[in-house]
Parts: sequence; structure tokens; C-alpha cells
Amino acid sequence: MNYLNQHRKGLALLLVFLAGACKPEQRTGDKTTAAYAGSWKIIRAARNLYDITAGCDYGRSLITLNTDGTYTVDKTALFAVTRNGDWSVRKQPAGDIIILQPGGTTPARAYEMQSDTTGDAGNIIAKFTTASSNTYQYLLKKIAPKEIDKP
Amino acid sequence: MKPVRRSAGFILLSLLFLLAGCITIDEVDQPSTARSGQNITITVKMEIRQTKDNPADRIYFGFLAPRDWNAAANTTVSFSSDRGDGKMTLVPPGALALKSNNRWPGLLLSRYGIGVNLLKDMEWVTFRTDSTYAAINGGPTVRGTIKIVTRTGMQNEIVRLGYFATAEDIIDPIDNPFYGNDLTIAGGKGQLLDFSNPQTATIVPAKSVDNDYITVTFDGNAHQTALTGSTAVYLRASAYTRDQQVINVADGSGATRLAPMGNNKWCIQIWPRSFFHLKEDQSLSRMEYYFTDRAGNRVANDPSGAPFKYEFWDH
Repeated sequence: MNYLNQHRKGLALLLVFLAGACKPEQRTGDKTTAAYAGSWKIIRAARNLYDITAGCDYGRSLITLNTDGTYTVDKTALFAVTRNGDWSVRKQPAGDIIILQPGGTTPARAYEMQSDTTGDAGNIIAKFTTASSNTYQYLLKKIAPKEIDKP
Repeated sequence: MKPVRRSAGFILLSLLFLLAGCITIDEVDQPSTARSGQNITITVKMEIRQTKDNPADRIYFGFLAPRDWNAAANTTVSFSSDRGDGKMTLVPPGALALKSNNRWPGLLLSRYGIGVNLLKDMEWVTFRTDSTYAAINGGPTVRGTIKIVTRTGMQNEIVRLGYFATAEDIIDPIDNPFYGNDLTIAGGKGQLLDFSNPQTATIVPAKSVDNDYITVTFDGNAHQTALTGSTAVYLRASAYTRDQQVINVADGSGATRLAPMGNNKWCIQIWPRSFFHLKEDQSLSRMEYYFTDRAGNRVANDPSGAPFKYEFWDH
């Protein structure tokens, strides 16, 4: 989290989910990976730049990036990936790329993420595009393990 | 085509602001009807008042269209004027608007929204002149015409397109945007999407797969229904899978309850894969739906009595 706070302005995170095309880079345990590890909950959502937070129950809408390099996604919220799998971080000039590699043969999809420079410290903005070219932007808040089961 | 001109009062108001210098769109010539997937031509006439020196100015032009048109890929724009002609090219999606930290599509959407349209399934696409021109403070007013050739989407729609034009360093000209009259797209697929008039039921985005969030809206004011004035509205739906299964959701639970938006309007965001409990190898081709009270006694259907329909994109 300290890493995010120190680099909030310049940090652009890209979360890319690739299936099969290239092997995700595993860097579990390094400083960058540790900054992103944890459970992230959707607190706001937009589709194609329009806010869709109202009328949507994001109750237990979590994606959890575990420190062992695996991730899990909640089955009640759209994270485009529906299968659990492995995640890693890759450095890019414009920011970090996080790669999710789901299990099975799920088709490849691309995601983007950015740090939130306007809200609470540590929140991140996840962007991804579905197969129908609709682009989503989630504001994600890191949730402590003891808060995960709270409504 | 019938040209759309600004009213005299609007022109007078615009002239006042022209003293500060900007571009005025004063006439748009666009068709009132078109077929789905058809190329249409639109001309936008404007005046460019030179009120400051800029040796390398550009014209930026924003075009508001339904997202299913994919206007960025299906539109060509050119420019002619008494100072020369040229092409306009798409502003790269990541390019920041000058004097702003925002990208052009988001900037125009946040400042101007979708104008008189109601369905939040439209996008601003921005073009700019390839070449620059020298603006001279106090120079003669330049008259220009922007020609747009664009392809309509595959959906049946009624929409009011939007037009925005500005010089390079003026983000927020006071006399923009300009919205055309209703354009009716026929011969397409799916239930009519009326962007500019209220409808009892709508789903956006028009183009989605079951792995999207879709927004289902009920407007009790659009037509009198059994649920107009209701204190709670629920969604009941049948989903048709591509492997010929039908999945019904009609449980009156919290998951199907629409959220109130005020003034007899309700909405719910659903992720169809979860809402219909799809198996991993299943996908949806279409959906039929209607609205009820919790017990299912009062029903709001299509005016014909049939359920509303929505087709998922076949990718």
C-alpha cells in the first residue's frame, strides 16, 4: 500500500488477462506484487463512462489477489474472468500491468486499471473491455480479511 | 434532407458570445430517416470568428452517435472553407483535450452529456483538421462546412445526433453543441430503441453479451401501465440459451427488484450470466422480460401484450 501511496500520480495499472498467448510473468513476493495483493471490492462502477452504481448490488463483489500468485473472483459480480487462476505483475513504461491467467481454456480478454488519484488513498480503478466492446471502470477498495464477509 | 437552423433568439445569444471568439454551428443538414447499416451524409455549416492570434490553429469536431454505430471506425469527416479544404481525422482515444486533463470523449460527455437524448448508450467521437491554419485577431470571419459520412447501426432507433465544434484552445465554447432533429433508423433488428422519447422498457447497452452488465429500465410515465405509481417493481425474465434451453427468473426476490430512480422510473443492473445462473458452457441469444409487483399480480408488458424483447450480440 505504501508503494501505491508514494506513486499515486504516476502509477497507471493495466490489468491484462491473457489466455494461452503468453505465459504470465510470476514475480510473487516482490515489492510490486505485494502492493497489489489482497481483496478488492467494487464500490463504484461505470460502463462506457456512464455511472451504473445505482440499481446494482455489488454485495460480495470481490477479486482477491493472493500472495501465492493465485487469484479468486466472486461469482456474483462481473470481472470478465469467471474462473480463478494465477496473477502476476509486469512493469511497463506507462505503468504496471497485472496479468490474470485463468484456469481452463477461457478466451482471452483485456483489462486496464489505474490508481485512483481523487478518492481514498489506496483505491484503484479497474478498467476492462468485454467481448462486446463495452468498457467498464470499477473503483476498487482494498478490504481487510475481517471485513470480507460483512455486507 | 431538411436543414436544421438555430432560432433567431439562439443566434442572437450566440452572437453575443462570439465577441469572445469561437465557432458557431448555424446549420445542420441531415436525413430524417435511414436504413440500418446505411451510409448517410451530414453537413454542418459554421462560422469561425478570429479573435486571437494563433499561427497554427486547428478545428476540433465532436460527433454524438449511438454506440452501436461504432462511429470511430465507420465515419469519415472532411472540411471545406473559404480558407481551404482538408480532411479531419479521428483524435486518438487517449489524447487529452487541450487545457484539460481529460480525454476528449469523457470531456464532452461530462460537460454536455447526451443532450436531449435519454438512453445512456451514446458516445462522443472527436475529429480534428489534419492541417493547421493561421488565425489572426480581427481577421475576417471564416465560413466552413464539415461533411460527415457515417454508417448507421444495425438496431432500429430514433436518435438525435449531436455536433460540437471548437478551435484548438477553446474547450468550452458557449454556443455548442448542436443537436439535430429525430433520425429514424429502420430495417434493423431488435426492439425499437428510442433515444429521444420515453419508453416503458429499455435495455442498454444495445450491444452486449451475457457477460456484460445490462441496465433494465422501467418508465411508468411513458405509457399508463398496471404498475404506474407502484411502490415496488420486479423484473421477470426468460432467457434463451444458444443450446435451446429456456431459463426463467420470476421469483420476486431482492435480486429481481428494481431500484427507484424517482418519478415512476426504476432500474436494475444485471449480469445475465449470474442472474440466469448460466453454466460455464452456456451463452444467451435473447431474453424476454416484463415487470410485475412482488406477487406477480400486476404486470407491465409491451403495449401489444407481449413481453419486451432483447437480443444479445452474437460474437
